[in-house]
Amino acid sequence: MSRPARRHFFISIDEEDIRRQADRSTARWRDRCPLSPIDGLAVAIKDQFAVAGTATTSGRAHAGHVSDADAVAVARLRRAGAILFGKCNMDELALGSSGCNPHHGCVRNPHDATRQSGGSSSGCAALVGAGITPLALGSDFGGSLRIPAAYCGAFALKPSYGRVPVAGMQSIVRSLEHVGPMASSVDGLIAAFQILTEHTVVLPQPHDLVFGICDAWLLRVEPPVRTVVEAVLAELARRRVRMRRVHLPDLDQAYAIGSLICAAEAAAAFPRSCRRGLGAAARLTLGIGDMISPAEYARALAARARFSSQMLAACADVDAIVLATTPRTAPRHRCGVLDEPQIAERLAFTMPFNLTGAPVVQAPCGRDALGLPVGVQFAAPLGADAAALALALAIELSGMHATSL
Amino acid sequence: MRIPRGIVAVLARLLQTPVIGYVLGRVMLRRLLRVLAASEARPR
Repeated sequence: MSRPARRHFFISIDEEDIRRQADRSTARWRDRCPLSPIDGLAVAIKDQFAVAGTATTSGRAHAGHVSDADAVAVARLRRAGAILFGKCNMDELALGSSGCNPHHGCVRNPHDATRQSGGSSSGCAALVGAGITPLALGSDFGGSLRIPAAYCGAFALKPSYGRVPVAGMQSIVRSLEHVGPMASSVDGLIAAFQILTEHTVVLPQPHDLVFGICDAWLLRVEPPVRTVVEAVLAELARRRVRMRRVHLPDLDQAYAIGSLICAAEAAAAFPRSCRRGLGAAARLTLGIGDMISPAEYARALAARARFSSQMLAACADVDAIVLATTPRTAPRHRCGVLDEPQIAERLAFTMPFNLTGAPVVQAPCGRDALGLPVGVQFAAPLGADAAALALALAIELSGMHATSL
Repeated sequence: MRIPRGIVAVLARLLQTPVIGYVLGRVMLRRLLRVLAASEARPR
């Protein structure tokens, strides 16, 4: 593997500070007084979160002011003894899902450097997928934790909306934004989630759960991905998890509603006076946001409420839904090219759960014939983060994440 | 109906031109609004 710097994983990294944090953690373990189970673990931070003493770019060319204080999520990790391991690359203003940043470079997929890492939490996912850091902190308003984690082979948790505070991060789309961890294991997700929420998680037994599967959604994925999802369903059945077929609303609808809300809110958060130096993709999305009238935005919000209640009704009898995270594995890099159909295709699978605010765990559950990771989502009702984690843990324990087709 | 990939790619390379960016944005917005209108028309 080439050096991480060439793969554009980081926007900024202070090696001296990392060494100082590591020395302090070593001393705590030597004195047998670690601050938490993650004391001494390296946590990559998406460059959307304030870290005291560093500038936050949110993927732009120029950083704003240097922060005096950590974002709340970062502060909780620091208090737990985690080593803050650099500010990670991301799609500019998180308005992308390819991992290509016009100023800081395209993040390379650790499994195949010719492939996309996915985004927008691209550097975080690549670092965890490459085994460089066991944990990362990212955000997700359309799939930004789950898409890159699926492409790079990392676990990710998009917690229930509001479970992890957004204070101190540069929030782009406040009404859909979730803060959550990525990890190299479900145990890592659980440990980070407990620290980020300051609550203990008790997992239910998988055989007490009922999961739902939507045939229409399953049929929309490519054969290698479908094979992995079907293997996950078979493994859950083997573990006596009951299955029920559910009829869920149209995926394209969710993509359209979510995209309208994202564009409108992002344009409001970044008015024209703040857009100097932005790349083409971010400018395009913000430009679309400018064109959305208040009445159209209100229609999108009403459609979101309708979609959420349809999802709630369809999932009333299940504890979680199982579906692919992306309809295909990581595509090839096409830097500078805006592939709108590809974006629509992948966000359609992740956006529904930003509209509902539901918790989702993305788990790497196998590989395609090229050795690229395939991700599967476990989506539970709002507040039932533990159910999604329990199903993902059951799959991880089966060893499926390491298998190839 | 989706915009063919080739056309999107060419347009994207011309995006540095504000006019092209505006036109592409308009096309994309119209498509999103069409899907939104279709979802509103569905029986509840």
